[in-house]
Amino acid sequence: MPPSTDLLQGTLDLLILKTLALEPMHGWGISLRIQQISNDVLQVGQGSLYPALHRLEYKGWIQSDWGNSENNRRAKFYSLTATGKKQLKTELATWDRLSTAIATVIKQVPETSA
Amino acid sequence: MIRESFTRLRFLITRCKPTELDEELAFHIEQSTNANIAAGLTPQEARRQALIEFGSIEGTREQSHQQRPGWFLSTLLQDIRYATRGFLRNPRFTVAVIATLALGIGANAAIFTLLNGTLLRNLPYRSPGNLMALDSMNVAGDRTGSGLADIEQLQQQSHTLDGLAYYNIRSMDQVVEDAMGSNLLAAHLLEACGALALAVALMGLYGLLSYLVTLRRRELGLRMALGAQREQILALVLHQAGRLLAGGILLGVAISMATTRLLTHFLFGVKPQDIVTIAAAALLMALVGLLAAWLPARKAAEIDPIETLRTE
Repeated sequence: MPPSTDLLQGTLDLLILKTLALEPMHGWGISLRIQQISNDVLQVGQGSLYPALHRLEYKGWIQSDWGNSENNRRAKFYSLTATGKKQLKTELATWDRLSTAIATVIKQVPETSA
Repeated sequence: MIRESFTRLRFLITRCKPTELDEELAFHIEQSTNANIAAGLTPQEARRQALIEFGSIEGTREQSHQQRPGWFLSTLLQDIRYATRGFLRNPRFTVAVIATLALGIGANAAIFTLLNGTLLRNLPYRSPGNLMALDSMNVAGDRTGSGLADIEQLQQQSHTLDGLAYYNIRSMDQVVEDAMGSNLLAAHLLEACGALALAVALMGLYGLLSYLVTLRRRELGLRMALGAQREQILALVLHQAGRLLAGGILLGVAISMATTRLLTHFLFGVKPQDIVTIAAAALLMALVGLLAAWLPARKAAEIDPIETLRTE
């Protein structure tokens, strides 16, 4: 099964970083939060969430600690590192530039109608 | 339940200890199950839905493992260990391939070193391209040679030439070729022999690897049936070929160094260890050798596991 294609590569990283900027969270919490905030539009497949979390951890943008969940179960909590915070700023800027550019292109009124 | 027992069985076979990742994924599924129960499903149905929603656990595990920076290296080490075991099991095969390659490379590098030293290298002057040969001819166009007085006059008055030396004046290439006419033919023959040796060595490598793949059809088929990917089979055969090539090339370089050292006793002006030449020969051999290995490797990757397992 290929990693979920419903999100652009890199977009998921951005969503995870942004979600973790609010508070440390476990994987389940991250996917739930993204789904809720986006009004069920963005559904993060677990098949891509956990590889992404591990990738970000190996890059040193997030770190993980074992803690207790709301229902008192051992769970792995992820939180942003200092590098991760910096990276989030860069990714946000990149995303802004990219989305503005795309929006400009697709909203452009055709000057000559074919 | 069924899925759980399958997982247990798999761990029994692969001896994979439940890692932190497994605990993490189990936690995720548990949370998902709880959410489904809260939504009104029965516990069994809630867990079933959670597992369906999660998708392939094994796939997620594998992909998460692959994020590790050293992941590629560890599979490489695995392949190398495996290849070494394979060689120890087939010592005769290994020796045959390495010897073939070593001879091919050794002969080629030695011959090329000689050619390079005697023919291809520039003449030993500062700027051989500016070297000219002068000649005189009479009105009818016959070459006459120049008198000493003419030469002295030229030496004093010429502005286009930095200097003038007299000799039995001919073009320098002519001089070289005249001097080496018979040697040139011999060198070309040697060259042809070298190319032939290379071709034979590569065909040998191809044949031996194909044979190896045929011998291991069943084993490779079993690996595929157990989930080895096409690329993994390809990498397996190529790594094995790569090790043979590396061994052959190392030995070949040693042989060529020894032979050129021997040959330099007979020839003047050839450096015994022409590192660049030997490196080039080894590189060429490695490239062509990998190509020769690629064909059997592809054949191995196209094995149909069902067919090989059926032919008991």
